[in-house]
Amino acid sequence: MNDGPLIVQSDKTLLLEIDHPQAVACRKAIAPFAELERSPEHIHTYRLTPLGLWNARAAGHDAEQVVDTLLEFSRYHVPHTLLVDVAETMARFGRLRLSKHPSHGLVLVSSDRPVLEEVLRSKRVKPMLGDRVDDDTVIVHPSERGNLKQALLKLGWPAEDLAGYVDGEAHAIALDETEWQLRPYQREAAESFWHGGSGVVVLPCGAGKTLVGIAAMAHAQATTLILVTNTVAARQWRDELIRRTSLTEDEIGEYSGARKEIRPVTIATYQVMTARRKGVYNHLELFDAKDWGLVIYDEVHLLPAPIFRMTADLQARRRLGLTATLIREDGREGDVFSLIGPKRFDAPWKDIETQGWIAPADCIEVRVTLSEAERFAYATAETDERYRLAATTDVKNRVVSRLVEQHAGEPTLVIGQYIDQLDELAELLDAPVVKGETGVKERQRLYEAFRTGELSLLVVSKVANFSIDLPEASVAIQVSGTFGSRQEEAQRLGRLLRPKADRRTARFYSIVSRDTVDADFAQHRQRFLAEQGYAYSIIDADQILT
Amino acid sequence: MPTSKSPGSLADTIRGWDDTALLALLQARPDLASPLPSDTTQLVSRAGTRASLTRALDRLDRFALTAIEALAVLADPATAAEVGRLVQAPTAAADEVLQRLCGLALVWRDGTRWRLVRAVGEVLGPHPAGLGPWSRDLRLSDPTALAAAVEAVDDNARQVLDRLTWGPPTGHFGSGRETAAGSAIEQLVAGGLLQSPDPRTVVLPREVGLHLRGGRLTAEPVHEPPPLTSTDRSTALVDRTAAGAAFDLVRRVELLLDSWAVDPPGVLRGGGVGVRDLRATARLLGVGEASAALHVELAREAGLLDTDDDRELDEVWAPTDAFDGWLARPAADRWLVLAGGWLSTLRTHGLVGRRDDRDRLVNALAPDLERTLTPEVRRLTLGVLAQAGPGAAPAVEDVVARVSWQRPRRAVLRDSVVGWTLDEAAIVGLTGLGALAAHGLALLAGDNAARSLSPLLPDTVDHVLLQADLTAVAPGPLDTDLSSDLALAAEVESRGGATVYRFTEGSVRRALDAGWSAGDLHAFLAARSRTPVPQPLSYLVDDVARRHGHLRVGVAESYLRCDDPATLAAVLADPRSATLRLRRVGDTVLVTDLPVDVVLSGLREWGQSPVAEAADGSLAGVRATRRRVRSPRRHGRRAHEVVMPDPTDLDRAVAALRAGDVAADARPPAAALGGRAEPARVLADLRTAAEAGASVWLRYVDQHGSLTERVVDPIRVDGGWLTAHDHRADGTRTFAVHRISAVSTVAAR
Repeated sequence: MNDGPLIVQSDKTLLLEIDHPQAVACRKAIAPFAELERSPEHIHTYRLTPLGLWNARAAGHDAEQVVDTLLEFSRYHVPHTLLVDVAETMARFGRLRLSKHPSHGLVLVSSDRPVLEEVLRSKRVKPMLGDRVDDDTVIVHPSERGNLKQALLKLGWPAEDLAGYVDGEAHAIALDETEWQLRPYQREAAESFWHGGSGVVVLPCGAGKTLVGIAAMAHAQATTLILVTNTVAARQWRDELIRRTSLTEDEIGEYSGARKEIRPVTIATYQVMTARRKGVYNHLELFDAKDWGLVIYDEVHLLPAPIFRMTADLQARRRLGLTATLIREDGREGDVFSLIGPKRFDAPWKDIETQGWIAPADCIEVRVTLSEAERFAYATAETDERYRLAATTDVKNRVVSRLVEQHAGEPTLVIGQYIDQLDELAELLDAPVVKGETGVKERQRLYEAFRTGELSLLVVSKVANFSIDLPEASVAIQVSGTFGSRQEEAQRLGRLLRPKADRRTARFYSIVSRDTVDADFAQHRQRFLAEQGYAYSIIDADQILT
Repeated sequence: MPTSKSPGSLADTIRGWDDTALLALLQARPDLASPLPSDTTQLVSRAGTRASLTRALDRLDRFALTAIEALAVLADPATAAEVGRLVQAPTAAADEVLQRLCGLALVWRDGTRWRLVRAVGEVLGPHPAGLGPWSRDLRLSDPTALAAAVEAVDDNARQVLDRLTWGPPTGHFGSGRETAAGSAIEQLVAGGLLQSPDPRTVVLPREVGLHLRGGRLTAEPVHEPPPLTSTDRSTALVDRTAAGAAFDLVRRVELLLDSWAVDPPGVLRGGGVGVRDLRATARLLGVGEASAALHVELAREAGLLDTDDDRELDEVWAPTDAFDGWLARPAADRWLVLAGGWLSTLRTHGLVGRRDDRDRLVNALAPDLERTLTPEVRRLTLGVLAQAGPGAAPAVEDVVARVSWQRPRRAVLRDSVVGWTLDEAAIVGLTGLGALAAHGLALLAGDNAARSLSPLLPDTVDHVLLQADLTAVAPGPLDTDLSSDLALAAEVESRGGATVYRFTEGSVRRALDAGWSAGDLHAFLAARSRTPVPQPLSYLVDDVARRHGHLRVGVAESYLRCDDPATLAAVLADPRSATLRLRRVGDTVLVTDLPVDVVLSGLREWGQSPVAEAADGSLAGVRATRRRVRSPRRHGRRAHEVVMPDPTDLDRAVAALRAGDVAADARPPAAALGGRAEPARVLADLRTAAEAGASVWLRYVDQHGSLTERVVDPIRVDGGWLTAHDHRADGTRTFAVHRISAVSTVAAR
């Protein structure tokens, strides 16, 4: 029997014992093809998925390597059927290739004729293809490049896209590294992307994904379209670009609800791109407004469906996706793979944390007990009212003020979902509140004050969840939140995970009402955070209040 | 070995054998020994019956069978050299195979020539080796003339001949005599190259067939088994892979039975388990449906699963009490029980999920899955893997070809069974990466397979790793106590070499329900975890325990209710109430486990005046029971019970035969006694005569009850009827054997 650190389960999960002496080597070896699913303190769980295996194929790994790795590190026998399945799955990638034919243009080439015959019989694929050039080659309508890749993935025969890219209109972009340096993993991520052509870079919140994007632009030296989630994020991208590169304000345009500038580097929001008038997307021309050499998608896991459809038509341009997680709540991971590209770089949160790039965090769940009256109200409330009742109990306010007191002077965020509750808290704590109706100017002013330390306490609604930069927050107190979705938790934690000057441990408090749906949602949060490897503990409110 | 004296019949041959040879015959053809034949004559008679011969021929390999066919084709008797020429084998090989067949009492040596036991020819049918009858056409008797005649036919005619060359030798055609084929056939029939017994049928005469085949029976030589091409694997890897599969099998059978104990599937009306239940089982086990069916079947074969018909409700499949004993044994022993059952069972699991003759879906555990062929082919298949050598994984089609060479006559299902055997052997864990593992070889040889398997199985572990995400990972198979405790207190999330458990509110509650206290759980976690118990887990246990038992449910047979607590207190305080076993559950309610009438009469006896309330809504415990039924005494027939007689029995059989022969020699002829000969004797004499082609005198009671005497040449004895050439009537007649009262051999024909 082998004494390896890995246990391969027949349900295609891989269990890695991290205290094992070979654990580090093993993790390096399996990372390219297995998706890290959970990383609690002792045993990490990876999963073998078709997408993961195809990502590995796209990165140049073959089935033999994967099988060898499994056999080498596995403690027990590896189920034979699983090995066969790995080999078969991996062999499906690249049987079909998209490439440029000297005279026919874009073609689909097959190295396995029966596969070609199979996909040609598909009703979905047929209309995207033109004439057959020879037995193994079929002409592809250039406009269908993205749709075809999507359709082929669905059929289980993902195509390797070797058709290359247009260079786009050249534009000089240089990194200005006088006051700062790209971190090694950021440099590596940008290079992996550049060599791969198109694809996704996965980095945890706070690990500096923006800089990876900027480094990629420096590689491309071409006009760039950047798609971000909202206006605040757009402004932050612009500020970063000005700070980190040779680009000047005049070269950067903002394309949002408020402004419609098209410049060599244009930052557009998802919202404006998906805005429709009379059922027609009226900003589609942006994609053709310039001969873009690079398209960057910030927060790919939030990319709205219409942008996927638009992206299908952008297959000749280089595409870079940036995200903290490949998991999409809507399950469209396959579309990210086929339309933006395979994963090009990935580093586990914990690794970057131990390298000191992001702050370690302690997660503490504080359980409060509803008063008798509240319990009665809760018990008799309608189902859809229950969460609100449980989440906004007055007891929470006392706990929050006590916690704020304990962490006086530390940059602290109080995060919640219900505006009434936030207003009440703001009044109680005598702190400003940022919510949906807060204007962009005011919002930026508050953030700036928070950043400079002028302000150490801020109450924010869920608008703060996405793509803002609050470098010095070291305490977050969550009073209510939407059903503990994984994505939201990642964002919230991201608020805290910025490197602190003194390398202090960040604290993430969630205040939860005992024996209510609030506690049920908290369970999801607990599981997610513990799975991410964060220290998690549960205490009773009494311990804080007394 | 048979001696080479020159006996006059098969019976003489056998009488000349030593005990070893006789024993070998009874071992090779066990049906001859049960029931014990009284003497050699009867033995030979039994050896010549159609049923016994069919069985013997079925077990011949292709070479031996072809040699038999050669003897049937040739003008009997023939020399080994003649047989060798016909089957394209060296004379030495031919001689050897004929010796072997003689040992099986299928041929016997008459001087330098070999004779086929006559009845064998009948079992082979009218077209041995796919050749037609001799034509007796003089034009064909001269080989040169025959060659010239064949050479002379046109292309159409040649095509017709080619169609018939390798058998079957008969052809049928429609009405189109005017077509090209029709005229070709006419031409061939005219030339004597084809015979036409009726206007729509043609037969290729044996001379022509043999000539077209180049004077041999088979296209390719058959005296060597077909070669195997194998991929070589590391034996260590093969053993490990097979051991892994073996371990998985044991684990999954345990999982299956545990699950069926709680939630047993119903028995279908026709027996077996439903498709939907099987599909759910496949999901549970994480395997395909065919594999799931195999698991279910093996559990039953091992006596771990049976129908529970003690219940009033519908019959269900449930684990037997043997399951508990099985669970307590080491994994290797548990595997041996399953694998041994698989090796010997007649049940053909590959049939599950297919359609039967009547196009009905065959269900797992259905009663009609037994095929006598299966265990034999299963062993042969594994034998081929064993022959290939350690670590060699032969190509599937080669194994199929090899087994087909070994049992050419068992064509129905044979090739499928070979394929199924290979698939199943991998699941059962006898093979790994297509090669036979060491423990597989041991099982096949009847050695202690568990001993060679046991070191390859993962060691059991006695601890888990607890993590903050409320999972517990057991990094190997757990000892039985720990695994059942964990199964109670946590949900299983992932299985395999390791097991991942998750603690949830529900699972902790389940443990508390089973009588654990929060303290027990804390102690259990602390004792069995290799890592510190995470704070959220301790919190979860306490949190669930805090609420556990808030509401109380119990069973009471009757209650005593009174709005005035003082009255109840008085009742409870009265010493006489002790007999009523009353218990206070609230200020105004007492309960007891005694029935209402007892309580009522008790209270009335000491002067109270209670009334009975019309009560319904009695509470009952609703814990699922783990079902067990009695182990069945037998689970279908096993292969060895049919084909492997006890050697000591055979020794006794040989001794009995010898004694019988002595007695037979001493017995005066039945006819001379004028009385009635015993029927077995009559039958044996008739068969001997038929075999030897001798004429017999027989005394016969005809339909009118009058006694007649005839001299006949017996042709065959079958199904209680003698078919014979009657000298007096000069024609073939049949006689009911039971009407024949005496037989006596007259003279050789």
